[in-house]
Amino acid sequence: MSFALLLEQLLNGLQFGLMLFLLSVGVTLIFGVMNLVNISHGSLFMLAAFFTYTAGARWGYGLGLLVGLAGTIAVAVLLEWLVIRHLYRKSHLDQVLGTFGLMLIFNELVRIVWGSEPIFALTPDWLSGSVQLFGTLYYPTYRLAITGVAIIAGIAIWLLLSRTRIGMLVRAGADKRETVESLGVNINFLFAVVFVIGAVLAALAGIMMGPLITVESGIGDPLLILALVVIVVGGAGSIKGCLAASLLVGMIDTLSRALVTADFAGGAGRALSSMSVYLLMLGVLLLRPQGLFTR
Amino acid sequence: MKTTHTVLKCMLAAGLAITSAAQAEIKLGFMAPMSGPLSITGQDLRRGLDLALEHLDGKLGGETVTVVAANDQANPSVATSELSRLIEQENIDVLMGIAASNVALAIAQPATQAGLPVLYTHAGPDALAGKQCAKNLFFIGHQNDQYGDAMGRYMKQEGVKNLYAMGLDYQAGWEMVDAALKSYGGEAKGKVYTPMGQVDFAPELSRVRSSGVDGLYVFYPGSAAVSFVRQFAASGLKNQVQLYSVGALVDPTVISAQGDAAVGVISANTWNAGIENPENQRFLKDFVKEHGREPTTFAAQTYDAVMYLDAALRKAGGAKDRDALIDALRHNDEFKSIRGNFKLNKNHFPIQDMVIQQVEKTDGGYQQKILAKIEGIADNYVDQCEMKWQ
Repeated sequence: MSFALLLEQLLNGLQFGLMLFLLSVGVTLIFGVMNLVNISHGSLFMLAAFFTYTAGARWGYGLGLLVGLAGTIAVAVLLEWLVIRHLYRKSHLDQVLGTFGLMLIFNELVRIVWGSEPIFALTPDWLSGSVQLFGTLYYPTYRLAITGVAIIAGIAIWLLLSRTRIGMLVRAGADKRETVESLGVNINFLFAVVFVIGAVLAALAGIMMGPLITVESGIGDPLLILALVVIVVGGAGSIKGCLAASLLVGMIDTLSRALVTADFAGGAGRALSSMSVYLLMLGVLLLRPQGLFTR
Repeated sequence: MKTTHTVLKCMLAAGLAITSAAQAEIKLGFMAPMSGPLSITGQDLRRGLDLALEHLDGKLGGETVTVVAANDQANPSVATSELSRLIEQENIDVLMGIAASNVALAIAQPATQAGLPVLYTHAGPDALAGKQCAKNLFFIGHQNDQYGDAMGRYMKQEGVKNLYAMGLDYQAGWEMVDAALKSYGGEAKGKVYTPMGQVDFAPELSRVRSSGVDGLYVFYPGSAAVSFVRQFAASGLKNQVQLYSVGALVDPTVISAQGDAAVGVISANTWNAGIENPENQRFLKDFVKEHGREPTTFAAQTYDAVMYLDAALRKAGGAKDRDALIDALRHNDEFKSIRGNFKLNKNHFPIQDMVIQQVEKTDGGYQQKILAKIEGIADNYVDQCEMKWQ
């Protein structure tokens, strides 16, 4: 593999990893603070893409973005109030069943409203095409742009959690929920805020991934599986762990696919490459079940 | 009490009359995946069926037809239990439809045991074309290899020097890639299979770019088709490498989601909107009027299958004599396909003209411009079939 190709593959891995981070940070945050397993997180990712690109096709990209974010936030607030709130004190099994049911409902609703055929996700003109990084290395502008947005979103969430009062409460709630509650903090409100933050990040991921993937019913689900791998590897509830694990999973997945050919080792190579991230997860579960990056 | 009895008797008699009247009709079983991941395909099969029956005024071979629908969910065990319902409770005369290859295989044996004529309109697995061919199983759609075979020949004819091949990692993916490479004749510079559910193709596309090929042949149907084509275009590879595929990559169910990224893609297909015969133009016009977009090849093939059955029923004088019907299905000279030249091989799979088409942008959307026709494509398994009738 030439140096330029290696660099390009590293960029691919970085971009995929950051996208996984945006999707999984919400799940891990919600788990860490509220002890809630949320399987329906991928539905918010899906809804954001549908809202954005339906509105975008009619009123342009900018307004589409607004509708996508606002619509997803509205759904998240309603969802938290109507369903999620009642699951906080239930067992993990109840939570998985409940949110899995939500996922099925959302997938079917999308199929009823938009049909089963995928919809078009537009990209603004100035983001199509590719940029010359150096020499013979060209990289798609859109992929660079979403890498940038993901980095900014990551920094923003870090600032929010480490530098603001609400972030302090969230971190305190994650460590000692009862203490925070006894100090007179409205824990219901705090939980709703965390849920919405998670939804905004999922929405951002859905909006940015839309033009690269297929906007159709159920698109969040395969990515949610990878997000769960990230959470296991990084350690549930840890934001730093989530970032490190996302990048690790993104890199391993990309590089293993970058190296293996169809007939490598009689097809065993390609089986191994698609298993690579799950092997990583297995190793972590066996040797360090609390996650690689937790104290 | 007495009145009740009389009423009951009358009702019974009326019931019997209805049953005997029903026996003079054709009962057509229709099986397709109407829910689950293949439901898009299933829906277009149904649309093809409905439009064909509409064009035939609800009659097959001149007799009134009742359609009994079954949803196989693309699941072989659901399909076999639905099949026994259709045979034992509904007493169907002919079965039509089937989109998934695994379902096609699962129902083949029970249908053959019951002697039920089956017209497969979409699926065409290689096993049923070879050793497991049977006299009651007819394939009006295609054999999977025909697409790859036609495209391989075209790429050779066009002088593609260096070829890279990619496909979805499952049965149809391997078949489509192998068939194309076989008739292309040369070695592929690289060959990659990607797992189902993979959404990001960046690492593979980077490898294609660095391999310096001038042609890329892929097989991606359904939602993978949208993400692949869009990422291929966004990667900038479109200006360096010609993308070749089969019709499913850019069919009408996905092309509006792909948008301009699909323009320029060359694919092989059994059917094309531009095929100029009056039957095809009527089918196209009425389908677009009803559903607001062009039909898929699945719809076209199902439409053709209904017309095929109609012609055979006319010749056999109904469905009651099964041997006569099977004979008429074999020697179906009156049938006019909306595709190009079409006849059945001795394994009951089509020998047909394949279309090589390229996506063009038009005022209102996209169209598939015909670049070439590859005539008389058969399949590679016919020699393994021991059936004799020609």
